[in-house]
Amino acid sequence: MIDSALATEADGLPTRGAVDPGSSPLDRLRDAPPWTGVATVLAVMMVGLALTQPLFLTQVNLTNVARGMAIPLLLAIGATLLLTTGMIDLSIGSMLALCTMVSAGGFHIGLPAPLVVVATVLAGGILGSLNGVLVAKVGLSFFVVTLGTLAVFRSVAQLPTSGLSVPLSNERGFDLIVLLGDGNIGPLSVPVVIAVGSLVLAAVVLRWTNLGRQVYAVGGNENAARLAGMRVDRVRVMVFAVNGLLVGIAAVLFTGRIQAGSPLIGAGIELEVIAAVLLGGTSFLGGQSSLVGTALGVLFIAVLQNGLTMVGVQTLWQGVITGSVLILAVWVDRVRSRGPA
Amino acid sequence: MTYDATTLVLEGVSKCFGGTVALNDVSLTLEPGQVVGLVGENGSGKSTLMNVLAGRVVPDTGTVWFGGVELPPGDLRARVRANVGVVFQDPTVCPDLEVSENIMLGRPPARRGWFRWKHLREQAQDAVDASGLRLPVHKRLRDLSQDEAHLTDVVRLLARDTRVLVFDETTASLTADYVERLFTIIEAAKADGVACVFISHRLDEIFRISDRIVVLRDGELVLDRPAADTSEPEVIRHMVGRELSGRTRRRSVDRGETVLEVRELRSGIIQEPLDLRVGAGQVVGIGGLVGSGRSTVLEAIYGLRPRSGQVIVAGQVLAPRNVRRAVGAGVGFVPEDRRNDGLAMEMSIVANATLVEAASQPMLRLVSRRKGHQVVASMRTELGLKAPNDGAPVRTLSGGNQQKIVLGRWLAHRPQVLLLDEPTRGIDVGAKAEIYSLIDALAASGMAILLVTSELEELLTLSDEIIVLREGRVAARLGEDATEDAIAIAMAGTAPSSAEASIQG
Repeated sequence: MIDSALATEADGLPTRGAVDPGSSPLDRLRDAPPWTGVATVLAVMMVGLALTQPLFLTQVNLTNVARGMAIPLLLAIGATLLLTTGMIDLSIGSMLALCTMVSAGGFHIGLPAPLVVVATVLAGGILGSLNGVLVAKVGLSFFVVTLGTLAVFRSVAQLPTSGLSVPLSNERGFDLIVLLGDGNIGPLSVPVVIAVGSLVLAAVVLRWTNLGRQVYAVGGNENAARLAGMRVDRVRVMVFAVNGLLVGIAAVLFTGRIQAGSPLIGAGIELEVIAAVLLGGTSFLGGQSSLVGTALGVLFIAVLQNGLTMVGVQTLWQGVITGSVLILAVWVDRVRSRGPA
Repeated sequence: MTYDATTLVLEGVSKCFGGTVALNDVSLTLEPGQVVGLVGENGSGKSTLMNVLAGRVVPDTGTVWFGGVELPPGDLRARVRANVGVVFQDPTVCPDLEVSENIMLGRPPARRGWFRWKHLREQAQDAVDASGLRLPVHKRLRDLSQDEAHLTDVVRLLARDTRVLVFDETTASLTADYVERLFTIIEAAKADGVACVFISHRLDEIFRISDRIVVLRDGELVLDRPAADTSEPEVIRHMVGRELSGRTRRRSVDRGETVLEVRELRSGIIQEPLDLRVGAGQVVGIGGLVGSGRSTVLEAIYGLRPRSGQVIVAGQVLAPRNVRRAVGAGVGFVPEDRRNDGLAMEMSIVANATLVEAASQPMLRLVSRRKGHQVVASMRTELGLKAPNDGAPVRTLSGGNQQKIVLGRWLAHRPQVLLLDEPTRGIDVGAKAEIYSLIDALAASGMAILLVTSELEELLTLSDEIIVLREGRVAARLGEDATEDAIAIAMAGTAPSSAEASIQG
């Protein structure tokens, strides 16, 4: 407390000015893209796996890794947008489960498959907006709100079937969902195309739309955005809504992949997703983001899990690894953003 | 009332923060084409007044008028629409946006939601050119120097045809070169009919740029006069006050045995080695304007700041940067910012009163409720603490009673040295008198007291010896011969600025 008081006194304390470029290796590192670290470690890991694990470079394995990435990548795009404005949605795992149950319900009442897809995606958008309104309009902390809806959404997802999964396969038009979640068009995996397409779309929105630029403004300096007359609360609701839509899309893919609606899936996935985003160099403090980094972060975690399985590490241990990676990523972010001492 | 379409009027503005009066019925009119220099010590209410103007703080009473229309309290968008802008101390910019986006923040040339980068950069470049500055509009703001970032904020406000422009200590973090550029901009804005407010602790700057000078003290407007009709010493006297309440000066005591000795102290802004001695029963006052280093001395002695030189308490040499050792050696400290550094506002009166106890006891020692209540009870009888009940949060107390708790918590410890930083900031006259008597009584009991205050009267009547600091150097050491004029002149010094001021005046 005293320290912060000192910094405000006009005592001529040194202020953080421009860094002399290239004056030390540390400075050069700071000018490199924020995902340099994860790209380097990823490359080392992949070379290591390729050399030691003959199965790693096979087409089957790589395809599996790529398909497994689609859903985390969709979720990570939303998390990146949120983190850019300095927020996190902890409820995405529960939201995902609830959305798959919406799909199941849609087929149950006989909706045509395209409408089921739309309904599922919209359900995500509505649930996301709910979080957004509670945070931005009601003014509660994002942590409290999304921790609360994490429990609420999970619970609501379990209500219709007492927690049981709803197998889907014979429903009319379900082929469409399977195609989206698990199919191929030519050599291309549909879920991977959807996820990568969303990534590109998100990059365009962030760079070329007014909303995207406002996201950076709100995350970088909420005060400045507000003083410039921006509707900060509206931007926050929008970001939560977009995050929800992405969860909805992910839910469609998930339903097609497991061929069921399940109230139990996605528990703890928010941890994996946030770890990937932070690894990719998006700052925990808001204002800075990198979608390229996010993609690399998701790839890193996918390859890590794949590698751990190949080397024979029990699945039970993977939480230890993912959690440690998360903490490490936040620490690196801290060190990086602290700048020269 | 009728006003020019761009006259801004603050009328009868008052604001309290948790028992501390920040503004008391302040009225101020800003005319187009005029620069008002706004000065006052820390906590005088300058920033609060400008935050009310900017819509960041909702006042308890009072109205902001612009061109005869009321700007609703706390409505930021109304200020944007009315073209009223404030350049705050810390620039309100977004580090990860381009400079061009920062300049056009809030009104980008978007078409149906799509961002038009080319238009944006062109418009931003025009704004930069118009201001006569050179800024790389296509760079990310993060990659600019602090100075450039700050001026980006200024260009942003100029680009949107701002009619009322406030500079809140903008020059405090600018290098000399950029201060000159800012002055050029202010002159141009003034010629353009913009109403400007210029806030700075540097009086030479104030006198150089201002047409009118307004002084705030303890939340009240105490001087509003054309710059040509006033002088630096007069402004300083108004800043630090001269309401002699008839309190007689302490009789100087003979310095007893030296309790606190400081040898060749250097820390932060204190670049020239500083020596001082405080004897038992003595009060040594440190005067100076904000930024003179007066608080730095106390913080360095207490161990909050790195320092060189020696601090000796009753023959024991204190290690630098070690608050625990300082407390162990019998040093107590009452910080300047009571709300942030002195008290845990939401915690109870008892918890705050026994904070020093809690820090000095082993971690697992059980907290004695009875003892806590004893401490508060003795504060009631000895310090005249007025508090509803011991468990109430400190937030609910008046400023004076809050300060009694900060001071009182040391008394149970019987420190040998007490460091007081602005012990009567923001408290009412009655509580001030009580704290004065308390300081007298503590000194009489043999404590060595080092006092920092921005109020001249306080400095004069409480201290046996006075050290006046200016820009980190000792400007004067005064004993019984001290007068208000002598102190004010030492505070202002004979900086090159006074020559400039007299040319302008």
